Amino acid sequence: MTNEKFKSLVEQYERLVFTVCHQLVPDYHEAQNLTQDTFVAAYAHIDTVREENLRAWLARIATNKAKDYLKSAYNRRVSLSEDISELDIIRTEESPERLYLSGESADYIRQTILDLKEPYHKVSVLFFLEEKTVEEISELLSRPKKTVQTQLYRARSMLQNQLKEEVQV
Amino acid sequence: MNDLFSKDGHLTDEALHMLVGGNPLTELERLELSEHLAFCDVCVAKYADLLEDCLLLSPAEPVAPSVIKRIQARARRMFANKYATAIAAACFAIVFWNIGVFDFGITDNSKLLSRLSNEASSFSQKTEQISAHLSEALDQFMNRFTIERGINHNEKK
Repeated sequence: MTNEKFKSLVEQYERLVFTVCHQLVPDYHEAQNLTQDTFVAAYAHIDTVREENLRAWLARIATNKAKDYLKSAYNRRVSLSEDISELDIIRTEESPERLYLSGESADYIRQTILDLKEPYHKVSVLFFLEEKTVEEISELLSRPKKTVQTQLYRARSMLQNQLKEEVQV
Repeated sequence: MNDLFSKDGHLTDEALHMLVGGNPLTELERLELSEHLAFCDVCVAKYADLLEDCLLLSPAEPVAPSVIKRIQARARRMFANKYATAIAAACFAIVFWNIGVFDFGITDNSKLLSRLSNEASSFSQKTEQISAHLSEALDQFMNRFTIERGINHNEKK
């Protein structure tokens, strides 16, 4: 695709892409930057996409860019570790969660996991209760490995908070 | 918290309408939505359809000029990276050629031929020597092996 043709395509879809970016990242300046990033990323593969799929395809790239921005902003504040070995600690024999699970409150914890809402419910049941690996969960749920990992960290953090509250009560 | 996800793991219609309608969502909710839309074909198609009927926003300034500038800059960078090594190699070759590195100080063909034949004969002599050393070493090793086996056989007996 020539630069001229691509330029007219950008002009045609810039409002759509900007709207997607702004709906997910409600900051005018950041949304503008993300819109540019979206088109720069799209340029490399624009010839492989059919005209009728262009809208959804651009919306998807825009959500990806917005996701990366939101994730890095969220992680800066919450500082979730993404080390997979650390996540596995929750399933080892010595972990406090495991000891707690083997005690009389096992049913309560099991129920807390079962009560988690999507997008954390399925990944948590498969990981913490059925002891599946991140790779297996990724395949079973057709979710990217990295997304499964992130969702598990957040689910773990939610569970820990709920358990702490329960202990304090 | 609103129910953004249905039990099958997809986004609810309510969630998509909230997003398109500009309803206030928390940072975590927006992150969850974007994470899902980034990989789910079904939901991103629904979302794109909803956007067709939605009033689209315009960026403060046109995006196209800066996008084209960035693409051109990237193309220049890639071109530079790709061909810099080849150009440098060609420059070195021309410089070496001019200062006579490839000349070997031989101008007469007969001299070159005699030098090449000398090199070839010395190479074949060296190869013969190496193969002789190797076969000798192999013989010694095989003899030792036979003797040791013989001793072991005797011990067994």
